[in-house]
Amino acid sequence: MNIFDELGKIYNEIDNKYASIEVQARLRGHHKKEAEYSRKRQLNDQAYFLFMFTRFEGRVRDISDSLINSKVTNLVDWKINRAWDIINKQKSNDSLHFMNRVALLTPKGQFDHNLIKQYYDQRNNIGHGGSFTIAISIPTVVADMKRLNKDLKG
Amino acid sequence: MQKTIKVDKQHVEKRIIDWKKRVSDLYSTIELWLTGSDYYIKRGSKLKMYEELMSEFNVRATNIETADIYKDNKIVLALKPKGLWMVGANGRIDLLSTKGNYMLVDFAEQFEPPYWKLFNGDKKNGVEFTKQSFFQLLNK
Repeated sequence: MNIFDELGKIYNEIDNKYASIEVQARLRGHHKKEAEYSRKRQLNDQAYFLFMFTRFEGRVRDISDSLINSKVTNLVDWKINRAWDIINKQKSNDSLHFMNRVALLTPKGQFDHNLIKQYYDQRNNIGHGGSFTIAISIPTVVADMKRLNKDLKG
Repeated sequence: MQKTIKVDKQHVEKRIIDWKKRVSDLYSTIELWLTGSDYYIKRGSKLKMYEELMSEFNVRATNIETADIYKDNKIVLALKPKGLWMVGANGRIDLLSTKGNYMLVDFAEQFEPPYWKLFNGDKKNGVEFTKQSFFQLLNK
């Protein structure tokens, strides 16, 4: 079982528990408790989204590092190598932006790049403690993360 | 080819109107499906809707309807819109019951007729939301 399916399974266990309490509260007219557990589920959505996206970020980092290393090692022509030298320096001093790493692996402006950008923006909103609860569909996240994990190559 | 959509206050307001209509239409469809069965649907309390884009474009908070499915005068399933703006989808509605929870996600493009998929308690493989899949859920 891959990590996204594993995290999805744990997420479901928690979400199902909270949802059960939420609906019981609704049936009994306990609206405050209903709202409390609805909010817990939203936070759970966000937490597991962050878990999954962090794993995906690690994968992007690993593949892009390998790609950069291989280009810098194998390219001889200075005219081609110069751009990779600059990228390599950014990688070495940790200033290579995540979306620039993504752009090395999938064409900028096309479907996968745009999808990752949307997830990245969402991850930043949550990570910076935004006051809004962003609706997340974990099944969609799992399916997308698994596919991108498989499709992105150096 | 992906269309470039200008996101401004007007666009955000249009999307909210569209979302409310899709939710309301969904409840009406379910009402039709339940005709002649042991179940009936009642529109319930309203939930506050105030998502990030609304704040960004200075659109006021609004309310959106929930609904409950009854059998023998008891709620057996609650439908609660969870949110409109989400990556890869055009809105999510939670379906909560004492037997488990489910999720409806609309995968249609913005302003297109909805394409609802139902995810079961494991939230893995979604199925098309139809009268059949809905009754399978109800009769579990």
